[in-house]
Amino acid sequence: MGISYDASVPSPADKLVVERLRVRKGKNAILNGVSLTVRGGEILALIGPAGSGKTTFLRCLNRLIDLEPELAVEGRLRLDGLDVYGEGVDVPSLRRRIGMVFAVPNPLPMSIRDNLTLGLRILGAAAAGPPSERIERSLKAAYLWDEVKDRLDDSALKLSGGQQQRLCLARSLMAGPELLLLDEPCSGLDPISTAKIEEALQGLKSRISVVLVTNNVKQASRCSDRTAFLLMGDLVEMGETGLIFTNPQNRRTADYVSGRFG
Amino acid sequence: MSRRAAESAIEAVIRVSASLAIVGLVLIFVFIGKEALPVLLSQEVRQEAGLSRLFLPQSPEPSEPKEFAWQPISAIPKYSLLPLLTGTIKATVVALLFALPLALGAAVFSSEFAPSWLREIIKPSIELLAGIPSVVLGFFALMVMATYIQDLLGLDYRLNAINAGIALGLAVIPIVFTVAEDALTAVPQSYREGSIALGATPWQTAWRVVLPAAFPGIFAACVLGFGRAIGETMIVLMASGNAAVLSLSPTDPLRTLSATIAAELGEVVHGSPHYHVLFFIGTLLFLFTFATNLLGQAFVERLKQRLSGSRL
Amino acid sequence: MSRRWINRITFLFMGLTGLACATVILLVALILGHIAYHGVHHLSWEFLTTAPRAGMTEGGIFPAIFGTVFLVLLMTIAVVPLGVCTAVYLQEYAPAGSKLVHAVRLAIQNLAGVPAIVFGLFGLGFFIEFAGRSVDRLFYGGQLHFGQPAILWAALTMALLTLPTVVVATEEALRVVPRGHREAAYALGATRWQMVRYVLLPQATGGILTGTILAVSRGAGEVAPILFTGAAYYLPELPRRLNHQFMELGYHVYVMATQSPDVDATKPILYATVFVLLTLTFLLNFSAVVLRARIRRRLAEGR
Repeated sequence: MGISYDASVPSPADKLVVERLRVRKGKNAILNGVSLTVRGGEILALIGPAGSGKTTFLRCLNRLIDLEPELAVEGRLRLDGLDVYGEGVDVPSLRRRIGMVFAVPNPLPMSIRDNLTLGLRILGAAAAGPPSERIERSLKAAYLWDEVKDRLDDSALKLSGGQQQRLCLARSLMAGPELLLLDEPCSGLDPISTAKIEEALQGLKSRISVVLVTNNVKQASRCSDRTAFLLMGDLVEMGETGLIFTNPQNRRTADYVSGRFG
Repeated sequence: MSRRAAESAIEAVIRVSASLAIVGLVLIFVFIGKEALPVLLSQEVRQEAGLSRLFLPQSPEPSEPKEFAWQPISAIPKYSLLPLLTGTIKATVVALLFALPLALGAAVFSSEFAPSWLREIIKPSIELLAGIPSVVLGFFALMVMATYIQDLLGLDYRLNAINAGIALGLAVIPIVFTVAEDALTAVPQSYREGSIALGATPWQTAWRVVLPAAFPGIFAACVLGFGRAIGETMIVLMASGNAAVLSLSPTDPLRTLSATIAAELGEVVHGSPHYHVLFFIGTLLFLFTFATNLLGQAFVERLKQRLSGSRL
Repeated sequence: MSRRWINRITFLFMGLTGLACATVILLVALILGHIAYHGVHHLSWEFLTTAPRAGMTEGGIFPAIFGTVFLVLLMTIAVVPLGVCTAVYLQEYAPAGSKLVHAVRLAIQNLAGVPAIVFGLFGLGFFIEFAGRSVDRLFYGGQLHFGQPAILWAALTMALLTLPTVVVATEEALRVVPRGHREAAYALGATRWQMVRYVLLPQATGGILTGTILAVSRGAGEVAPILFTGAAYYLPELPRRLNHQFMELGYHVYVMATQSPDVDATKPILYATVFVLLTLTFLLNFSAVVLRARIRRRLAEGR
């Protein structure tokens, strides 16, 4: 399964197909049969008030939800045709194809360089290209290269919050993922770091598909190509970002994007 | 080896290692019990050292009165456990009488009254005490304390229950202190603040609010201390005189169950009734400390539940 | 109750508990001071590096120091991997609430409460009589090699005794690692073992070391388990093989104090030996405490 870092022109075919995804904790439903598709080379924003199941949805995509055995997951997920929840799926391999950036930056207590190469060490076999080239490319893609290029061996914990989050973004890009998941990556970050991350996403989208969960409606309208609105576990509406914000079909969508509730 | 196979192999190794703890505990019981069984089952061992001989008074000669005597090495071997049991209990009682007031008092003082700088002196001191090997405590009791106590109280015997008991108490203090102090500091500050706000003094708060709340933990501390005292060997071996006499007086020497094993296992003939009785004693000790341990843990659990509100 | 009475009782209560505290501290100081006072002046380089002579009234205790170190080394090799694996299992591999987890935890807690002499009995009944004799039958055609008191069996007995210490310390260290670190590793495609190896164990090293030091301290101080599993009072040679017996500091103190024919002549050596033993365990405990404090401080500021 060769993952080439420089993927060629993305196909317009669907990258990820989600069919009737349902997640339950005991009797409570967290997701009620959500179905959507993620296209290749697009940024899909997932918006909705807190508790709607956006994070849960995201964690289903790379099966991080497996870490919570009390949740029951049903439905079909296909990544490039591969049934994510199928029999005999090698979950670690799956996760290597998908990058994830968490809401709270979680750099590991090691040097910047070690943080970045962790993914390669996990891959084991010598991945294509010498590490230092990849490090530079990932850091540039995350708009962090200039700030840390002279101190790659410093501890990652010395960076500011915004820098740490960009480091986490660079880290997730090191193994050349096809799909990038971001869970409210800019919550709590200063506006400059936020802007840099949004720029980074724009730069990435030609090569990778991006699913961006965000609490910030304005960020969704700035960054994404399409937007999906999740409310209390239901997918209420989904479509071209421009249309969702200017002319939503559903009244609840209109209420949410205009800030009448949130 | 493929990655998946390597991962499974590592997981197997980890699982097996973890089970070794259980295996070890079970093995201890099995192998000690195995050598103790002849006391219950083997005809020839029971003749000399069966349960009735261990626990009921025996008359060495038909004409002589019944007595409880432990003299395994004599013309007519006597295997009564009573002198050893009373010795164990005597030493433990003295130890607890000495240790509990000191340890509990110190724990209350440390958690309720002492300023934090003082606490920084108290806790390390207790840890120092905990770090003293029991053989050193036994040494101290044997060489120094025994003479001192004998002079102080004008006793006949230098090595006796009081000497051993106090040294044993010293070994028990750290455990009781640590568990009790943990229990007391686990009581939320809000309990104390509520009490003070109602006008109570610190001692009233401690006595009426904190201690009752922490009671399960304090009880656990006492139980664990008790268990430790019962099982301790080196101190009594060195400081108690090692005389297996049945006496209730604290000024007489004594012999405990654990010290008996230590003192006699070295010279015993493998497979003899004496050998099996010693293992029998070991099994008793094992079961007893197992039970006290479970009891202590049950009470610590209760404390946690009480403080988290799930039980009163 | 009148205010004056209340104040009096407060004072009394505080006074009594404070007195209890002071008494304990005083006793500790007394014991340590007494031993230091009587033990220090006999210490010398010769004492630490030569063997005993003339029925333990002259010479040094080097063989006992050597034996103690050798014993503790073997014990550590056995107990640390076992303890770390057990802790990793309990924290990472066990399905939450499974019966095996409960049983292992219970076993660890109860192992911690078993009297030391019972371990000694186990060492005799299992390691020497069963394992040792089996080894002799299988590999030495029945000749007595391992079916007798030996430093190997004493070390394994000690390892079982100190297992709970290592497990508890390691579990604590693993528990403190934030969840986000684990998730970051998993999201990068790590298998569970890779996550443990690259993320958890490096961060838990301090705690594991603390547990090891505490185990070593206990191993150097406990005498009851080695009474019948391999310790000896006087040996002409140092133990060079795993099936040799060994001299040991604590055991030496015990025998010298209780069975020496001439108490006064051996007193200086006895006190000095006790002093060496105390210093050893004290240094070990102290370094464990310092290490633990440093870890706590780093946790408080780093995260």
